[in-house]
Amino acid sequence: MSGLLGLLDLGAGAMVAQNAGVAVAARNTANVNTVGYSRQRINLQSELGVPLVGGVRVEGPERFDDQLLSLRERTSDSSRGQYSSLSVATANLEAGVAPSQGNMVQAIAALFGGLLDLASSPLDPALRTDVVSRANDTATAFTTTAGAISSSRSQTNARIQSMAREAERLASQVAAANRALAVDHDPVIADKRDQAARGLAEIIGSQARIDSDGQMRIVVPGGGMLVDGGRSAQIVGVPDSTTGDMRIELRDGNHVDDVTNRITGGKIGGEIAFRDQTLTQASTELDQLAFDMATQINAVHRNSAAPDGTTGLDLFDEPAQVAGTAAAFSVNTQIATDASKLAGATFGAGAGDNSGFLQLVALKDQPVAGNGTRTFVDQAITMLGNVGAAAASTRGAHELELARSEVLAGLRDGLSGVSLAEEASNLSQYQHASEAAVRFIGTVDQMLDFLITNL
Amino acid sequence: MRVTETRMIETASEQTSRQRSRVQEASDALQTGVRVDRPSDGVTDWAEGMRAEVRHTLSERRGNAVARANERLGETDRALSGIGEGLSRVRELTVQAANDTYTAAQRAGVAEEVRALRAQMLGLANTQGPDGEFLLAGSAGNVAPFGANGVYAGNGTRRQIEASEANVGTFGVTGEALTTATGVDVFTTLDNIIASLNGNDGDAIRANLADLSTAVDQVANTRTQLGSQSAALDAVDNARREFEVELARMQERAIGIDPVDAATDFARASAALESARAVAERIVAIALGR
Repeated sequence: MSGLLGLLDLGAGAMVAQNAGVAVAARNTANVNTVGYSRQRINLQSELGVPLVGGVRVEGPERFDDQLLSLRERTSDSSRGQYSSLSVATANLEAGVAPSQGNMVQAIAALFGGLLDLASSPLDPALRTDVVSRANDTATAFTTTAGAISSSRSQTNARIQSMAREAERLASQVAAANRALAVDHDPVIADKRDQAARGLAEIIGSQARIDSDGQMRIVVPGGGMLVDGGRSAQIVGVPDSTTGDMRIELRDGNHVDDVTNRITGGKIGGEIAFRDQTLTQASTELDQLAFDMATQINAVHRNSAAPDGTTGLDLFDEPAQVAGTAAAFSVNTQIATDASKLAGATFGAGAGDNSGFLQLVALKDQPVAGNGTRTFVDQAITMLGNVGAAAASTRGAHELELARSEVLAGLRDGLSGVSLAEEASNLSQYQHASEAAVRFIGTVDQMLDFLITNL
Repeated sequence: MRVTETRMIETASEQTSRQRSRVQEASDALQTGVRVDRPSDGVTDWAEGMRAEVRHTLSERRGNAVARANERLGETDRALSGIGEGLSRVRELTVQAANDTYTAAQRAGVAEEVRALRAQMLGLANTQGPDGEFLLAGSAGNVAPFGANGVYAGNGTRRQIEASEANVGTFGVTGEALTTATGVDVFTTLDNIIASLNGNDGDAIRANLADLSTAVDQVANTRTQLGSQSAALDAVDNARREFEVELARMQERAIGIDPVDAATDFARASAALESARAVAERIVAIALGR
C-alpha cells in the first residue's frame, strides 16, 4: 500500500515537472518578439530511487546565456554607439557647412570673379554694386558656416546632457535589477538587467561584469564606479563655466568625478570626440581662413584709392583676433551702403586706374592662407574636405560596427533566440509527458481502488 | 548553427531594405548625373570638381572682362573713325583753300567749317563708354581728357586685364594717340589751320597740310592697333571658350557619373531588390509554416 501511494507521489511529481516544461515553452512562445528576451528551459533531474523507483525533479527555469557573448555585445554596443553619434553628427555638420550650392568656396570664387570683372571697368557702377554684393555673399557664407558649426556644438551639448540623463536612468535600472536578483533569480529580471547594461554601454561605453555574488558592477572607462550592486551613481551633464561645453560628472554622494575626457566610447564618447576634435578643428580652420582673407584683402584695399581719391577704408571689418572672425565676418558698412567707396586705384594714378583691383585679383593665386601654404580657395576646399573626410571615415566605421553587431546578433539569436518550431515541439513533448503522467496516476489510482475494494 | 524564424525574417527584412536603398542611390545618381555631391562622397574627387568649378567661374568673369574690353575697343575705334573722317574732310577743305584763287572770305568760310569739324572731333575725343568712363583718358577716366583748347589732360596708362589664368594683358589706346607723343598734336594742327585760314595766309595753309596728313595717318595707325588688339582679344576669348569646355569635362570626370556604369548599377540594384523580395517572401512563408 505504501509503495502504491509513493507511486502516486512520483506521478504527481512527473506532472508538475512536465507542466513546468509546458509553462516555459508557452512563456518562450509568448515572448518570441520581446526585445532582449532570452529563451528559457527547465532541467529535469531524476530522483534517486528509494527503495526501487525514483521520480523526476524540475530545476530552473534558466536562461540560455553566455557571459562572453554578452561582454562582446556590450563592447560592440559601445563602439556602435560611438560611431553612430559621430557619423550622424559629422554628416549633419557636412550638410551645414558644405552645401552643393552657396558654399564658402563658391562664394570666395564669386568675389574674386567680381573683382576680376570690375578691374576691366573700374568706374562701372553696376560692376561695383556686383562686387559689394559678392563681398556680402562671402561674408554670409562665412557667418552661415560659422553658425552651422556653432549650432552643431549647441546641439551636441544638448544631446550629451540628454544622454547623461538616459545613462543615469539605465544605471538605476541595473541597480534595481541587482537588488531584485539578490532576492529572486528571475530570468526575466536578468534579461532586463542585460538590456539596461547594453543600453549603458551604447550610451557611455561603460564596462560591466557579473561577480560571483551574481551582482552586476559597471564602471565608466578609465575608472569610476557607476553601478555597484544595488547602488548607482549619478551621471550629470554640467556646462563648463568657461567654454559652455557640457562636461560629464559622476556623482556618488559627496564625491564628484569629472569623467568627460575619460569617456571615449558610446554615444557620449562619440559626441565628445566630435565636439572636441571635428568641430574644434573646423571652427579653428574657418576662423583662420576668415582672418587671413579679411586682413589680406583689407591690406590691399586700404592702400588703394576710391574714384573720389580717398583711401584708408577696409573692405571687410578688420578682425582684432583670429577666434570668432568667421562668425563676425562683415563688409565695411561704408562700402556696403556706397559701392563708390570701393578702392581699386593706385593713389594719384587717376580714378580709372585698376592696379589696386588687379592686386586684389592676384591675391586669389597667392599662398596667403593656411600658414602661407595655400590660396584662399584651396584652404576653403581643404577645410570642407576635412569635414567630408571625417564624415566618410566615421560613416565607414559605423557601417563596420553595424556589420559586427549583426554577426553578434546572429550568435545571440543562435543561443538565446526563441524558435517557434522548437517551442512547438517542446510543448508537444511536455504535453504528452504530462498526459502520460496523468494516465500513470490514473492506473495507480485504479490499482489502489482495486486493492481497497477487495480488502 | 541555430537560426530562429525571427532572425530569418529580420535578416530578410534588412536585406530588402538595404537593396531598396541601393536602388534609390543608383536611381538618384542616374537622374542627377552626379556621383559626388558632397565632400564625403569622395574628398579627392569633390576637391577636384570644386577646383574646376572655381576655375570655370573665374574664366566666365574673364570672358565678361574680355568682352567688355573688346566693346571698349570698338567704341574707341568708332570715335577715332569719326575723328579720322573729320581730319580727312579738313584735309580736303584745306587742300582746296590752299589754292591762291580762294579769297579771304572764302577761306574764312572754310575756317568756320573746320572749326565745326574740330568741335565734333573734340566731342569724339571725349567720348564716354556705357560706364561713363572717358575712353581716351588713360587711367584718369572720370575727367574729360581734352579741354576746349584741345590740350590733353589724361595720361598714357593703358588698361590691364587678366585675360587668362596665366596672362595679364594690356589693351586700348589713350588720348596720347592724338598728341605729339605719337606724332603731331591733332587739335593744335587744326587750330593752326583755322588760324592760317582766318589769316588768309596761303603759305601757312600749305605748310599745315603736312601735319594734317601726319594726323590722318596717326589716327589710321591707331585704329590699326585697335584692330590688332581686338583680334588678339578674340583669340583669347576663343581659347577661353575651349578652356571652359575642358573645365566642364574635368568637372564631369571628377564628380559626374558614367551613364553606362550608372545604368548598369541601377539594373543590378533593381535585380538584387527583386531577389531580396522573393527570398523574403519565401522566408516568411517558411517561418509561418506555410
